[in-house]
Amino acid sequence: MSDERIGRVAKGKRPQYFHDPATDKLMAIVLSLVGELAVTRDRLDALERLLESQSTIGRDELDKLTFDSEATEERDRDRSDYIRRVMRVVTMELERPDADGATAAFSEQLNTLLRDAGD
Amino acid sequence: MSAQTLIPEPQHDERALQDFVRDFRRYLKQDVMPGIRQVYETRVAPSHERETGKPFDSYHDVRRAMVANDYYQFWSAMQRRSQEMMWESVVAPTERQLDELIRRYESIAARSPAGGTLELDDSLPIPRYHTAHDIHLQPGGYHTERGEHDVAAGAIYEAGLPIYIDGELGPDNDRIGMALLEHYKENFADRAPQRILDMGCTVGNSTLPWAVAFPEAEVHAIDVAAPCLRYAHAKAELAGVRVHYSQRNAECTGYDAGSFDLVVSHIMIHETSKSALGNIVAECFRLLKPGGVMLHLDVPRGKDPFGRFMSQWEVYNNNEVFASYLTDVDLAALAHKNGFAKEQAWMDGVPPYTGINHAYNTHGFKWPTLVGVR
Repeated sequence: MSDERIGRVAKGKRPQYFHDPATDKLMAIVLSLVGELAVTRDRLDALERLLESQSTIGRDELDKLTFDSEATEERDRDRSDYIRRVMRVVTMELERPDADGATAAFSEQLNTLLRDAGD
Repeated sequence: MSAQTLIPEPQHDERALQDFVRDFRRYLKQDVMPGIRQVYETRVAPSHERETGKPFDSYHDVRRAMVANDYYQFWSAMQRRSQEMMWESVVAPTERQLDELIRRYESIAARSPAGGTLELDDSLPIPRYHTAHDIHLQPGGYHTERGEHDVAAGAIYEAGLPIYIDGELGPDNDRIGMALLEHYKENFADRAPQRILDMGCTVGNSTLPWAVAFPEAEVHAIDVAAPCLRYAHAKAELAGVRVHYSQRNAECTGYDAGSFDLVVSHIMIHETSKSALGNIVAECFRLLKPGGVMLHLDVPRGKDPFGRFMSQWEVYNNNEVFASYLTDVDLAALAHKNGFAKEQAWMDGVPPYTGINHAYNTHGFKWPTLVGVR
């Protein structure tokens, strides 16, 4: 799915919070987007600060900028990673390390875990 | 990456995401969470009393009622997502710099300038309470190794902690150890321990204050997770603090009987299991010299049905599965059953070292702590 070495999803069933599971996924995506916009705002601020202290960049220059193949690959990879991050929850069921047990009802699996944890 | 740290250094956008998660969690805690008690007191509890004719007497009943409440649902879903995003925000920079982190660990471990040691045992079984689910949702948990000399789990834990707790453990993440140390000094002022053992040390954040406070003592620290122990060893050596780390299970450490003056743990016991906990307390009794002291500090389990319900959030939503059992356990009685005389084991409340503003109890916060004297 990606070249991630560490993985991003914890082992263990993800609880359901809302009556409709789709709402849980939408919530997770919305929060990811909120985070990404926060990052963009920070980046824009950083850019503004740089411009203020160093020099100016014309909009025309930006509009006409072209990228070599290495830069193009980087940008494509970043964009792809970005989409994966935001859509994480859509594929979470499949990425979970113990996905084989994913069909068990949440309450059933949690009860098993609680019983095992308490011996 | 700074020469004096093993913490992965985030690039601009990685840092910005970490900052976002930290601030989002702060918003949830300060703006959203107080509303839960309000919803409970003004809607859920009165409704329960109307229907049953009596107030809630069980946190299980509180839970059944609260999970159907839309305000609680929304907070809970956001809190869960913030925990996942926290790990995402620290895993990415760790992954990017992992080769360099491992090289730094190897270089520090080869020199070990503070004179500490690291002893790993790759034949040690990782207990089921670590492998069944990733505690705190940290991908791979504390123990997963993905290559030789892997330190990723330690680095991820270390980088996530200040985001998780909004910096309240201080710049060195050591204020839990400092709190327990203060408590020990106040209550056992006449004792200067010669040999100290810290159980479940993770990356050694709470170990270091003990080694600094008792420079003449031989300080040992154990954990089952090799990547965290490697990180802990390098961190202590960088700090110039001599600690002997080794990969052992607190249930059965392999140290000689009567070989320690002091055995401590910091928020470890809720991450074990029912049978493990009894074994650990019995092992502490075995390890202590006559007159030696055992201290296990842990997280409060709540004072009333609502407080106990809220303390269980981490159980159902953050993979602290065993903590559910701990809510109802009498730790002092457990110590009496596992060797300690009746008047020689009790529960104490350890106040924060400084400024801890715990999510569930902002006033008069204390860490419940099992004290035992052999």
